Amino acid sequence: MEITSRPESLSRYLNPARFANDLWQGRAVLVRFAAREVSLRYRGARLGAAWIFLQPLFLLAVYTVAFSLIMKLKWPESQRAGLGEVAMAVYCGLTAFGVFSECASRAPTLLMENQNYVKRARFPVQMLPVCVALSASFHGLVNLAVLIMLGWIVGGFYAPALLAPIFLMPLILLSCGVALLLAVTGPIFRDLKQFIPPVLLAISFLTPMVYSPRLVPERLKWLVIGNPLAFAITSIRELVMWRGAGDWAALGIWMVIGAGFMVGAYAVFMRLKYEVTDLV
Amino acid sequence: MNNGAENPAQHSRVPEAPPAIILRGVCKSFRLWRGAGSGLVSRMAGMFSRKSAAGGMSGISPARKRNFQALRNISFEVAPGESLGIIGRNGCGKSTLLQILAGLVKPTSGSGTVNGEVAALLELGTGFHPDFTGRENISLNNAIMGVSRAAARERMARIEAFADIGSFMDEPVRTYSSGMLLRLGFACAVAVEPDVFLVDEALGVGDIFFQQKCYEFMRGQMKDRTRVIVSHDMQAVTTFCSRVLVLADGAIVFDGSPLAAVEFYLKVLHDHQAGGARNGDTRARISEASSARFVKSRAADWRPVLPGATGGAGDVRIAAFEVRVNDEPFASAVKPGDVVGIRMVVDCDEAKASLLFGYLVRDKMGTAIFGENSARTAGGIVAASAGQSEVAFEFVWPEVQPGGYFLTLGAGEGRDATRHRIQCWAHNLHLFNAISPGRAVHCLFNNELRSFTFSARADEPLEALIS
Repeated sequence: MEITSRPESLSRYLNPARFANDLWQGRAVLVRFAAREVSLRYRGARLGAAWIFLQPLFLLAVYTVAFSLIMKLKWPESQRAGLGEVAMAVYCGLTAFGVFSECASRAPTLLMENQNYVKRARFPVQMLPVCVALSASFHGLVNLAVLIMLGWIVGGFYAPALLAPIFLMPLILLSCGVALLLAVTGPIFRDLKQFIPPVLLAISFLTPMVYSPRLVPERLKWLVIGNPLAFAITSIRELVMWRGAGDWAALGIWMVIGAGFMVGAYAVFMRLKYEVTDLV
Repeated sequence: MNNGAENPAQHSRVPEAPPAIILRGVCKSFRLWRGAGSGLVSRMAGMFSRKSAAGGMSGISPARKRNFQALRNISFEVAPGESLGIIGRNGCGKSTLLQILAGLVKPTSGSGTVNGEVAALLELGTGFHPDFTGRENISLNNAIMGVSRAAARERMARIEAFADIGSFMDEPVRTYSSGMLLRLGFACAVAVEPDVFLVDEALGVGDIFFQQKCYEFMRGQMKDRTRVIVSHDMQAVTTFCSRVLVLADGAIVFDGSPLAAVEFYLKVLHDHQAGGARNGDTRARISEASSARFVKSRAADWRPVLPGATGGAGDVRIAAFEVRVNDEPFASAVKPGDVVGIRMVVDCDEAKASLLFGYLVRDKMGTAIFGENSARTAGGIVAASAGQSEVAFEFVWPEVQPGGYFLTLGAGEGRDATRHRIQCWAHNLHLFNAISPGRAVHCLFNNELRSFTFSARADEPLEALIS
């Protein structure tokens, strides 16, 4: 093993194949850590399983009352737009947003919480943010499954709804990248964790999470077009609720962007890994 | 098996194996940010202030960012199979050095190589997830290292046998005591069968039996592998290491035989405690030979005894004392057989007809272990006139349990060894670091077996003997 003071090279890690190999090498960590997190979240099955959904249901109720009953937001996609439909549309938004916000909130302090592994053991530390993304994605997929079933209950069986998880993938990849990036910059800029909640709040309102994207005026359309969250949310709604078809071309583009961002974030993580170890 | 003709090739030298560890000019510095200064705004302000400082302006307080030099220009080589000890005061950079050798931390400058597989036991609980059981953690470590299934099973069995923590193997690691963490950690680290094994102060935590087990394992089954041990246990270091480095303030100040290194370290420590800047630059690399010269060139090490620190009648007071080991001052390390010389300057208020003097050695708990006074020595009871007198006596350090011992000196008035008027007791004047290289002391002291026989028993039944 070479001991050198030369910093890791960014370009060496800007390699999807290397990232994939790293993930494969660290699969034990990914599986066990993510499994543990998932089991902790869903532990205490009988009441616990219901409890997992109580929180989004509560949010759902509040948003529905506020935006639909009080502010009377319109939904151009649907003619009827009953309360139930509005609630479900918001649930789609919350599901996608939940994946992203969990990754963004947990990442900055992740390395500080795992000092045992960062500073004192030979451990693939880069797997830790990926585990966070994995467990957040799992939760997102569970919510998505619930949504799909609700959609079938309301409107009858519709096979293409099963494609919804694929349209969530670019967001998952992006969230993984965000987790990697924030995890490595968290120890450097310790105020970061203070900035995350207000930024997430801003994103949640500037994204069509509780409203329809068609309500956004022309000059602010860029908020929707350039927003991976918006893409995921609208695709899910299309497939699950309104019996549409997904936009495969856009999916292709977003997949490439998501994967590219993820590999780029991985490269930044590996480049800064040793510098950050001293700061944790 | 030789048929007479010698094969010349047998006598050719085996080519030198490459060193297991090479370090060249390794330095490590950490940037310390003062408290609130670690925020984003302060860092940006700090960056600007650096520029303004460079530009000659006073700028924001320069002490905001401090560089802590943990390691300075470390260079050394370790041959394969060597057992290296590293000793030094707390904070001198030993742990950082091991972290660099283990590949966890990158040096700020310098380079090096470590050949072979490295396993490190750097801190208790290292690499264990507290909520996973011992077994799950081992299996996770095996998976991280990419061990095949069959090898993993066999390794698990070996670890379980060595660690010997019973049913706790299936309990979460957060329930483990520190001794159990050490057992599991050590067992896992050595199960890898590493070429280079790094141990950082963790062994001090275990019970004496497990410590012995670890050291015996390192000495026996790992004797062909390179071991680097950081320890504060001078006894362990002198017994198990073939070479010792002494670190001070991040630099190597001694590199040589364990005994000489321990003696050097204790002298440096002694000087530090005595408030000495007498040493000059302790960072200068000193070889064994010159350290011996360095020590002998010093004058006597007289130390005052503060009046308030003594007990007894007080007409006769011990004013100053000097301790020498094998006629060298500033010595703290003692081995069985070393001659300890004590000199005292005694102050008498009035003439005294019969005074006797002695010493007492206590262990770290304060239990008096051994001592003697001059009543039993010919000419040991003396008459003194008013004023200052000098007393000198010697004793041989016995074979006692290694550890720390404190010296107490006393002066008494009378003729009897036990019944006399105590004039002055000066307690805990000097700390001896007793070591016993090459000879284990089983309890407090050894008492040899006077005779020993072993034979097969005749047909006489045991019951007939006992009833």
